[in-house]
Amino acid sequence: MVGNVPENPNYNMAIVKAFAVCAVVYLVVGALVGDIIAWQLSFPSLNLNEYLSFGRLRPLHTNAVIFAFGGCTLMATAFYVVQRTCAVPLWSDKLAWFTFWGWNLIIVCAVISFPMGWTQGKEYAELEWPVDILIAVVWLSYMFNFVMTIANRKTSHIYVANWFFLGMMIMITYLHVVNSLAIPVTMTHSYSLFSGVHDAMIQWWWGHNAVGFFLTAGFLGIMYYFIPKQADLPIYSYRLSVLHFWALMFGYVWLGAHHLQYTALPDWAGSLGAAVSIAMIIPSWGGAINGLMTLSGAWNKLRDDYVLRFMVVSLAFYAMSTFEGPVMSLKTVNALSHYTDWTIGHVHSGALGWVAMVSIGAIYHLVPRLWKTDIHSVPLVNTHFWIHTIGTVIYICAMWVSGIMQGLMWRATDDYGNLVYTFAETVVAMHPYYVLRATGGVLVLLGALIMLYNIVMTIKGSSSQPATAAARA
Amino acid sequence: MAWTFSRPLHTLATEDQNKDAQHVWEHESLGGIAENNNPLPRPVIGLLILTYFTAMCLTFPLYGQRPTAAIYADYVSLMNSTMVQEVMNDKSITHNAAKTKAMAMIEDSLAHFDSPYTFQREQHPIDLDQLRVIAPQIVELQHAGVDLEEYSVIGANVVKSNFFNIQDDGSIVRKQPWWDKGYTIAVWWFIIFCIGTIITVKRLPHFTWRPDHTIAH
Repeated sequence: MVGNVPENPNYNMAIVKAFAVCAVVYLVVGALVGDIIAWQLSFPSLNLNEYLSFGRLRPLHTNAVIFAFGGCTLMATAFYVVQRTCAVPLWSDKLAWFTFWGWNLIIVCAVISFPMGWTQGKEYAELEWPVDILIAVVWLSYMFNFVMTIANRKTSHIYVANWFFLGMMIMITYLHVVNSLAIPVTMTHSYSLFSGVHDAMIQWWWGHNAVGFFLTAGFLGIMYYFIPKQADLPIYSYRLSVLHFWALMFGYVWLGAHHLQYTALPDWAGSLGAAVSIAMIIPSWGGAINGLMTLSGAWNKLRDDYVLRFMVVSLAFYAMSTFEGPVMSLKTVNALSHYTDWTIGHVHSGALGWVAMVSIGAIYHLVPRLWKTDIHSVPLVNTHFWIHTIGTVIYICAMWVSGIMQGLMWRATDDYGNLVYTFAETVVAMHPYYVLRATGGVLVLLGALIMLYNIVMTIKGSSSQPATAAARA
Repeated sequence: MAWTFSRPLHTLATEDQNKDAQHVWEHESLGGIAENNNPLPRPVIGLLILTYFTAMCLTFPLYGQRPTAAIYADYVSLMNSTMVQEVMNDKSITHNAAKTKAMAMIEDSLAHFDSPYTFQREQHPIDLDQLRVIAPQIVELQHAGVDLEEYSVIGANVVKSNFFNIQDDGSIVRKQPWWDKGYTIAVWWFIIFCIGTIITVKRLPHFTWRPDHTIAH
């Protein structure tokens, strides 16, 4: 059994608190914008004007959930984990606050620039060049502080969660910088340094690695700390985590090409992308097994541990979506799935199921410990869990059905080789599933609002309520 | 850093190094968490082998290959023959049926002759619509007397291949060199990964050792 250690009073927990609260707020904002655009797709008359149209709000949604919610969660948890596992405070508090205000400034820039239509047009990298430079500076400040804290550590061992955080920071730095290379024209416009298929390849080299390193490696760092900590059990296998980490780092960089099957990209690059995608089932499932095996003999804890429940379901979604992704990368499957809603369903299985749930679990773990109190309402957390899970399942099932139907309708031809369906007919057929998707989104948004209320009430009540042992751990 | 290679599948570390690692493992507190020393689960090792070879088998024949124009030259000649043209223009059957029948005739004729392109043709099947689009371009290249193996078929276009197979005399042959195929990169990458992982894992104390987590926590 693993016990608890007294906390170093010099740890900078204020920065962790600030990022954690921001993460919850951005979860609500990101889910709200996402649901608005889901309704806009269902009922196009909801595109009120150009500033609030689907095309401009969609990057706002993706950036809000990935970089605002996901980024703040990663920064909160990385700063929390590195201090506790290295037994030293952060190297620089000032630099940490620079990272905090810088990151939020970037988010404000996104909120202004996307509705204005200022975009580079690169998926998950839409922000224009001045903000790209700001992102690089702030990200490096985050990484430098993290690295220096590890360098100053009192322990000789670097815990596996820190490897994953550091792997993410290094890879995202060079992915972001290379993908953002552009020739500025004005403050709000630039041209990519790359052109044609090279530009597409660089875009998806970044695009898939934003998933692989930002949304996977970083959140695996969260998993490796918070699951054993919450379960009060040692992680199942150090060896497996070695395999998991290096396989992930070696493999992920090759996958981007599978987004460009049947394009001008050379065949071998697409084939290689698909081959390595299949091989990536190993680290993904190895990691999921490591997390789930940690709970061997302690599955009864799931009955009343609301944090573990989020974590375990997140791992199930992680294993599921990391199997689905490689299957979709195969050329024969990709011929049906690409450009359809199936891809959207797959992405949200990873985003809502894996990333959001492991983040929510980590934040529910953190808040009582940071404010040294008990959670305001456990029934509300349980409600959040079920409402989020049901919303996610509705969302991804609707998109699976819609996407496969869409792909089949697009490719259907009659005896004379003519298309059976017009494009408009496919859109009409998808309408019920779009409404269903938006309804699933409402549930996820509702869950996020419940979480925000619960967290606010927990923080408000922290000064008056004595903490239990669990909250102090 | 000392190494022992007497039992490489057991450990690559010396006794002293293992003792140091075990001491660190048991005496350091990592914020209230710990790690066990279990071996890689056998299903994971099985999955590793299975998925790697599945991935290779799925894609190996396609690595590095775009179809060269040369593999379709015989298709074009046969398509332009009187016998096939008659079938293609047969109004008594549907358009799709005519296409299928004409293509079957072409493939049947090709099957009667040995060709160095048989394998590549199987890898890059073509239908009559695509053949009709690329045929004039291939005929034009044949009239120009160029080597069709230096041309690739990319969608509807027949274009000069983008290979740099530099010869001893400095000239460039636009044919794919053996080292410019995707799988060679994957094989080297995989070997380096396996060696790196084995060294890292085998430098750890043997998996039969069970750390005592009560010491530091």
